[in-house]
Amino acid sequence: METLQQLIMGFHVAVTPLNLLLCFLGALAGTIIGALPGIGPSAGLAILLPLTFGMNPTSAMIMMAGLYCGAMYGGTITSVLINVPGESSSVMTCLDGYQMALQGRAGKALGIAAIGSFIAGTASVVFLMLLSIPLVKFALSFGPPEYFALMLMGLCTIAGLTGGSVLKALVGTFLGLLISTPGMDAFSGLPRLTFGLTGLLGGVNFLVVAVGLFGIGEVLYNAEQIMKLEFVTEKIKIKEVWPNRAEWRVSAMPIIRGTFIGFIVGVLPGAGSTIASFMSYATEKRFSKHPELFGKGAIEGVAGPEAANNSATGGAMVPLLTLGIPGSGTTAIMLGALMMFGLQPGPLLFQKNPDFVWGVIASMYIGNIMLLIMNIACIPLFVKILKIPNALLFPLIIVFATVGVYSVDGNIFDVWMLYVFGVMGYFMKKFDMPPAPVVLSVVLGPMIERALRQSLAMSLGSYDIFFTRPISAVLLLVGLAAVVWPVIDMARQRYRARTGKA
Amino acid sequence: MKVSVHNIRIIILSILAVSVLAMAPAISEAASFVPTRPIEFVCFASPGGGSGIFAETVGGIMEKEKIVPVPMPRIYKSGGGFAVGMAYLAEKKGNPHFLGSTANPFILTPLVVTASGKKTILHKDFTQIAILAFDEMAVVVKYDAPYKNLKDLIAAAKTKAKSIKFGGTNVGGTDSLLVASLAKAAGVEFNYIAFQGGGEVNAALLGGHIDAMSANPTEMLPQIEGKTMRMLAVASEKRLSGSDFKDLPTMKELGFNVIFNTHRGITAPAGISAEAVAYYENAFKKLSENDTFKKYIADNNMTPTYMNSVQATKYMNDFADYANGLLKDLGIAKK
Amino acid sequence: MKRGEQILGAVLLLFAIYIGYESTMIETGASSSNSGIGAGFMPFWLSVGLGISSMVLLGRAFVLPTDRFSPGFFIDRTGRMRVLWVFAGYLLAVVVMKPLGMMISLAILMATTMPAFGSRNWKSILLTTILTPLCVYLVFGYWLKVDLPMGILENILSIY
Repeated sequence: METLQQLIMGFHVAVTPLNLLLCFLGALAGTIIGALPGIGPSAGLAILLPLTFGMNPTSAMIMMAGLYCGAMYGGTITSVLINVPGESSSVMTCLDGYQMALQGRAGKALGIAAIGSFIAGTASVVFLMLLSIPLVKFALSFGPPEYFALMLMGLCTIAGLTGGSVLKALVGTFLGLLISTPGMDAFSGLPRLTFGLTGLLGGVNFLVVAVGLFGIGEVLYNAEQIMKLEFVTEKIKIKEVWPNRAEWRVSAMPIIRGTFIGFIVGVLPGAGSTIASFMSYATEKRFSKHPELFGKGAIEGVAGPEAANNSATGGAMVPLLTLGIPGSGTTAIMLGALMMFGLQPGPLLFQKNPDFVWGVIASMYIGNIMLLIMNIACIPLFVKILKIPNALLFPLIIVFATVGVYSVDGNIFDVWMLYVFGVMGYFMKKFDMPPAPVVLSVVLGPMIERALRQSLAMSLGSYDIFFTRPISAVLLLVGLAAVVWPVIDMARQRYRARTGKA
Repeated sequence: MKVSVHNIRIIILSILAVSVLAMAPAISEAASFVPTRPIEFVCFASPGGGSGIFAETVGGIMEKEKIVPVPMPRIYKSGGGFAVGMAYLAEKKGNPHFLGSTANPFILTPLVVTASGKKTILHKDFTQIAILAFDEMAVVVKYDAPYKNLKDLIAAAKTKAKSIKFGGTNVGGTDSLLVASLAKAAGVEFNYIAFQGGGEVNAALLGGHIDAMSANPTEMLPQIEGKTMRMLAVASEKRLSGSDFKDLPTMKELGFNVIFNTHRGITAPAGISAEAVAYYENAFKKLSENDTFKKYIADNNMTPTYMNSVQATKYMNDFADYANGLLKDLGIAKK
Repeated sequence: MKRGEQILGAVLLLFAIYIGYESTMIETGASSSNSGIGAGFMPFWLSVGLGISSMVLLGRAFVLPTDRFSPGFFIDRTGRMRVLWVFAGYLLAVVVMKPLGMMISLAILMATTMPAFGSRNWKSILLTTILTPLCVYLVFGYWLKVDLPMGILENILSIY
């Protein structure tokens, strides 16, 4: 009951006209920033930061929370419409969302994404309120060996994630993992595989790979056969955006599962919303009765990951608000901002500044409602992008991808890399190699290697550490099952087919 | 509106005026220097971290207090442990309308890259303008850890080599060098474990996956108050001035001669005129005496200082030599 | 495409061998920082993995009959011309970005790729070529305060 009282107090703080306006502005800016490739929530916050200096900390944080949530909604738009992930956590949305757009169901894809995001976003705030304390203990029990097991489990499912040739997906996985290796090696302190290029010292930016392989690759591919691409361009009414009964049925469980996965992964410092959306997609494909429809415009392939990445934002706030530990790049900037305002995020924040914490929590509810209304209302407008003639749309995609990628670090080298990965994306599409395994491996690669080497450093080189710790042992077993099960399953089916014939 | 001859004349005149203005900087630089265009203030790290906040604060005060007559927009060029931003600033050779904000990676990253046998841009390839403050560092353990003071920790490390897991950011960075110099001073060997960033190190410490870490004392203050972490010692010359830290011993008074911190300074591209250096030295001197800036330094428990161009250059060269020795101990630089 | 897949497999194999060779130059075993495995460990074993899987790919491309692959790499001659044209225009834009600045580079990008994507109306090409960089400048440079490289335009624009 105490929680409820405090929440009501929080709403008192959040529902002042000024804070409502700031929340709205933050959400709006977040949506736009999320939609622009390259500029993600962390860069958006950095841009917003100087604007918030005159405000009181609560108002500033409300605006920032609005922007953070908004960016998660916004990233979906470009993923669905033009196959360019607006920010890293919407890569999975490209797989089925863009296919839906090609089938003329862009409105539906955006609709289910907004609804899934809303449900998950709201639920994650409830979890944030109720489960922070027990969950944060769980999150802290994740040390390097556990992260290694978790990431390895993820890696094992990658090859089976996309349809088509498993061999080519495997090649893509290795390629992606290799792409992630150049840069300053944190453990030896020395640069490796940088070939003397300063731009490679920081490693290959994941977003460059994602935008290049998905967006630019798609554009270059379309240069060859312009006439083939026909989006359905009739006017979309709001009614058609809302999912129908059958679509609700297939999407409901993915949204619920995505919410849980997203929240738990979000709470873990160092995993993040990209991993959350990827795990949700992998789960949905496994649970689905029609895994063959994934990658061909399955609505649940949009609903689950979108729910997961929004839920992860609520999750990421848990370590920030309860411990003062940022769980992601974005929350790290929020932490910096809080300190600039003289607040001290840490274990006592809930006790020392309750009006602040509860004000922010309340504003996350309001922000999600605003974003739902805003997104649903604007979907017909967004879909109009597809009415732009191809001759203009495709060059514009390259333009925005280029500027967006440049904006991440302000480095022309990244523009070069975008070209390289764009060309690579073109050839991969030609050879029927799915880009998703490459992109996901680029995310997972550094994390796996870091966790592996940290674990081995902790154990002074002994591999026992992965099996003697219970969570890591369980996760490794699940990963093993994920690899072995499909093989057994396939063998059994073959056996059945043969005996059936005989 | 009808375009008359008169209007056309105005247009032509204004075009001429614009082009003269465009060349103006080149003319004005000859005599005593005053910036005529916005000064791009390059931060080599991403916004929000220690370096980002420093750049934001400095740039903000310089603009607001009109210490410089032009805007001073903060430009973030992060990546590669300062290398990307340094490459950007080095390209602006001779252009006095660019400044950068420096910290330890400005010196350390080039040292490490050089150690790997590759050529890169060094801190010596820039004109140092000033050093304004030092950010101090402390050793922190979990609150319920068996080590109640630094001596306990060192004693535990002495019983068995590498028995204490020390967390921090990348090897070759400031954290690892602090740990290396403490290990050297105490004659022990720590098991150093590198993490991606400060947040991950904190989480690993609270989860009990590592035994100790190095951190900025002010950032850890809430954890100390919340009794989740314990601060053992600070690697500064004198005890920190903030009232929260009056009981925090320095490593020196505990008998470990370790003074290690990160400087916060200002740099400019190579080849700028002596007048420009003098102008900026003066401007940042004014900044260091500014009350808002002093409050920022005090709030963050930094050690204030002012070193001019020559002093800053000497400090950095000395630091580079010292760090190179530590890198050799870590096995990075060739012995 | 049979030939294409053969080339793909060979290229990937060579890449794997090269990276594998490069990573043996880095410490792969116990390094001085005691982490059990060195910086070269992951790149080396990953390139071994890539090498093996690309060898399988290469083997399949030789063994399987031609009708298991799609016929040609390009659909037709005009398609090929268009692709190469877009590649070239885009490349040109990237090359000139540093000396000439982002605005001019984007203008070149629009001007070269729009015709390749099928626009024949030179008026609309000209209009978008001018408008796109301006919009980009407004949104990214002015509103989002991204430091766009201005190249040769720097001196003219910076007086404002």
